[in-house]
Amino acid sequence: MKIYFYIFIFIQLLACKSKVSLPPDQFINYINSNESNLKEEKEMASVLFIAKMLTPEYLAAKALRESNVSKEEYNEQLAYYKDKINFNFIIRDNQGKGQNKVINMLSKDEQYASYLGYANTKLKDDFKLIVGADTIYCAMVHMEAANSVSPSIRITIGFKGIKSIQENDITLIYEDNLFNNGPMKFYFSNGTLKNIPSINF
Amino acid sequence: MVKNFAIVLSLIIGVSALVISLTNMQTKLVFVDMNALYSEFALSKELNKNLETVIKSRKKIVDSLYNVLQDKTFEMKTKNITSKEAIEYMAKLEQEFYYKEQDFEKQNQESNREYNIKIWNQLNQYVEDYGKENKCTFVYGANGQGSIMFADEKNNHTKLIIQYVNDRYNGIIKK
Repeated sequence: MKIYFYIFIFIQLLACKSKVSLPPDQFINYINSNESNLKEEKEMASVLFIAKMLTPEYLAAKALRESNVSKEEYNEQLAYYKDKINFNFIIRDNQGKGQNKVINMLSKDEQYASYLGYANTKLKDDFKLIVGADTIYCAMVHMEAANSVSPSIRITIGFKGIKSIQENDITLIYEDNLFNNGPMKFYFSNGTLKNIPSINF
Repeated sequence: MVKNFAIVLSLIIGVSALVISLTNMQTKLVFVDMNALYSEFALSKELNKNLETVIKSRKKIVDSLYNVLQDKTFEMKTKNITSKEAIEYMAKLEQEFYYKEQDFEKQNQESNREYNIKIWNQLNQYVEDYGKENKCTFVYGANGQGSIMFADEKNNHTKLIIQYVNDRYNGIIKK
């Protein structure tokens, strides 16, 4: 009887250790959901800063845009994205605090013009990535147009030339010059990255 | 018998509820040494280090201008140079030196002011979060200028708050 108990425990431990794998479309949904723990949030003086990491696997799966992709097609994309990480970065008001700093910036012409000028020239320098002992500078910043339905600042930022993504802790540093809060760190542990499901075909 | 038991039980429940509500109503007052908090905050250390580097490099520029000015003055005196061009050149050099010195001084003050705003923006947020998470009624800031004249050391949360703000800044603990 005892032996069955130990076999049961062993199987349970194996089940805990083994990595979940998902088909590409479900993998994309998983990363987009909050379950993946790839979203980090900071509130600073009534403004929320949200960083969502988009891993190389996600970028490769997303680039194919089809549900019936072959493993070869996926691997080809992954080879291109393997040293790249993107982030969706959102800046919005914490509605509960009622200060509306972001809404004011986006709705007042003068402030919006100065924000646009800043975003087009210096914003790229405000993002850095720390991967292990390496500092990676931002390769690309793309800003989505703000609208009155969603009064928030939405930016996609890209980093490339990253070695061994899954073997290191990753910290995104954002130097906030828009609201003068200084550097903010968004930390993603190596454990979180290792626990992301793999893609199956 | 059953009736007595019910009375005792309801009494016990009533007294427990009263004790719990009184405990919850108690105000939790803590204080933090502001000077220690500021100087031990990781962001202040980083920004002050940056500022020091910038001030040093600005000082180098001003010092080298001063050296040039001194050398030229010495040269003019020893060689007895009195031409109009030389005097004009010296005046320009002197003007540049004073302009740079004042400009850098202003920039240093401005950088210091900006860094302080950033540091206090973050400290205020993290201390507020600490207070909420630890159910504090008040978090007092002791700065040695009389805002708090005495407080029991058991209410001193400086070490805990320093640890908390640094962990929050580094993203190690999430809100």
